Amino acid sequence: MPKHLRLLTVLFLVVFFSLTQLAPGQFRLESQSFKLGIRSEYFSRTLSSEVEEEKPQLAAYLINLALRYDLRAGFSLAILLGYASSNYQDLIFRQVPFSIDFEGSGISGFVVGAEVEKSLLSQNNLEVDFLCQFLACLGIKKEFDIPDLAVPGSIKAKPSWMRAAVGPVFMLTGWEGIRPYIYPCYNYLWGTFSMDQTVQSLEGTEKKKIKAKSQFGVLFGTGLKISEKFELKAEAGLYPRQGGSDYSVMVQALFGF
Amino acid sequence: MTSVNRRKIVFLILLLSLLPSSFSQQKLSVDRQRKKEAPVWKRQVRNLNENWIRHEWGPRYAPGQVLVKFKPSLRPQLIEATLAAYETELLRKIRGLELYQIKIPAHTFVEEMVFALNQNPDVEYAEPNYATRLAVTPNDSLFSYQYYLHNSGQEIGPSGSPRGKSQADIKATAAWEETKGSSDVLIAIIDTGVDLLHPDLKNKIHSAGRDFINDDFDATDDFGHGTIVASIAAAETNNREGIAGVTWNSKILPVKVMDENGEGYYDELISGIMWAVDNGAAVINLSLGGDEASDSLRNALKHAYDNGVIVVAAAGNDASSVLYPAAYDAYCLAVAATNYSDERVTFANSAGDWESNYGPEIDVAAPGERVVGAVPTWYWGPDSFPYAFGRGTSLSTPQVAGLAALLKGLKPWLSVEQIMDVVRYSADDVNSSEHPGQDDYIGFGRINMEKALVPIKIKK
Repeated sequence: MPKHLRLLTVLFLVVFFSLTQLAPGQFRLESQSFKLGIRSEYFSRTLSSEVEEEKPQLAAYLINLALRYDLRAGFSLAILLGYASSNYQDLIFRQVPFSIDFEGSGISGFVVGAEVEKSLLSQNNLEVDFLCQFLACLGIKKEFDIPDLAVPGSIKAKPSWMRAAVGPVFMLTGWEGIRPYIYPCYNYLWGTFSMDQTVQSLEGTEKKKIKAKSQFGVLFGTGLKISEKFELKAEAGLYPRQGGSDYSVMVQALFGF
Repeated sequence: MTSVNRRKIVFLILLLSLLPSSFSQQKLSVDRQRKKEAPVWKRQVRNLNENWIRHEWGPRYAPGQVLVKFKPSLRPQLIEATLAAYETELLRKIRGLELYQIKIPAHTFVEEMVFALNQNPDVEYAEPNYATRLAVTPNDSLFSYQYYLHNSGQEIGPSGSPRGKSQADIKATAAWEETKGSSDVLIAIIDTGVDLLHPDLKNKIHSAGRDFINDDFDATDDFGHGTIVASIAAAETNNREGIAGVTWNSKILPVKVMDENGEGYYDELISGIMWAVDNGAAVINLSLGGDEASDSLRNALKHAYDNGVIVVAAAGNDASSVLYPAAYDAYCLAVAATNYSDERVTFANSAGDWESNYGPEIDVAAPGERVVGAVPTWYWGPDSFPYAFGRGTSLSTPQVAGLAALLKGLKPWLSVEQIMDVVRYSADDVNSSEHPGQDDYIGFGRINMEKALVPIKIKK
């Protein structure tokens, strides 16, 4: 079974078992709440390549609406909907008639995602949660001119990528309103990039699988409870890989209602 | 006049126009005895060898300079004091690496200074400022004369030769970063045969080939033309000898269809094409042609096309319409000639009386003036240096054939038409000021191997 399918299965099982733990009597309407907010994120990930010298990269800005549903204390679901702008570096396509070193930026995409967080343990000033995240960016086809040929030519690029993360969250709860945490996670980013090339009568298509080189990340962050209805979260992530590290940053504001 | 005689005369005319005119300083058709007596080339050979020695064994690093990195804990004042103690002068500090490029005193050697600095406990390391060179520059002794592969504006022959215009080349060195070709790709040189024992070719010959003149399987060159053509396409490269081929790894399939006088007929040419197709050729080079259209010749080209074989043919050198088979536009690439300044070769700018043919069938051009290549080892006589300068679309054609072979090796899934289009569309329109776009003189332009092979950067 491919890795990403395995991961989705794990995500599904986590959600399933979390939900099945909730016997009807356990639902307490007073503890249920909705929170709506905005999440902005930037990440830069090195992609794997068959050619050692090539270091393709995907960097993306995301702006999402986040709707979080707290089913009960220590258990929440969230959905994310939004927009992403993806930039690529050094992504090489060699199957098309004219090989392309793609460094295009600003490729728009729609984002959908989901998140499940479940408290596993709370002792003294430490809380351990289990967090699963899934995010998909469905890219919109964008056209780029091929420069310097004897005749006009262009490519149409359509990338889509997905990201899944799963791991424990270690959170310090000893301070009023501030909850710093560390989230070591299995973090898998994969997708496809299809390219249609047209140079007069010459046509070619290449569909390339993309995959982040690092599959493990450590995210450091803190939650700030500004008021009963308003909370902030800031997070920075490092994704170590051979020869360096990738990174991400994220801020989120949620309003309760 | 019978049709056979007419054919023979036509073919003779075309060979005279293609072959002899394609050799400059020492025309191949000139009396051999006179060439043996001519000492000029031998002197040039010696000069070449001296150049090669200097080139190969010249300084490996910048004289009087050392690169030194101090331990991170060392403060800048101490670094300055240390450099002063060694009587060195700071030339530059390379930021990021905290590397110091220093000039050493005139009385010390680089090696001594490197050794002394490396003994200093404050120094992390010191090393000579090593020379860099183009990533893929073959070490073939005549490479610097091969302006058509890489033209930096150098003298394009022995001292006193004209200088080329920088960048007026087919961008071979950049393209070799991407591919040096595949040994599975055979280039059929359908010509006067090939010198099977030439030191710059013998390891590149796939087999002894086929001789349709003598009806045997030994396509040894007894005229000279096929050898120079084969060497331009695929001479053994990076072997410290002679010239570099356009494709380093592709193999040569010799097919002899012209006799020791450089004469032949369409039947031999057609037989050669059919045999090459049926014997594994991926690319066919035809540095020859005739004035007459022929359905049989056209059908032979179609046979090659239908079997996935790319045919590249010379346009001709007599300022007239494109020769056949180059004129069969649908089935082959017709090649015109440019010079070392990226101009189409005309009577006005060629060293001899020749001009590249023209017409709507022209697809691309490649340098065809003062092109250096291998000639048979017997050509200049015993113990001579078997290389010569030549000119003509005959010598432009194997450059295009070499590019087609590199493409075929890199992207074997592309069709003949796709490879032909990549060659066409990647060309540089070097006469755009006079004839923008595709024209009758150089087609889409002078070929550009880099654009055809190296991934094109798309940035936006």
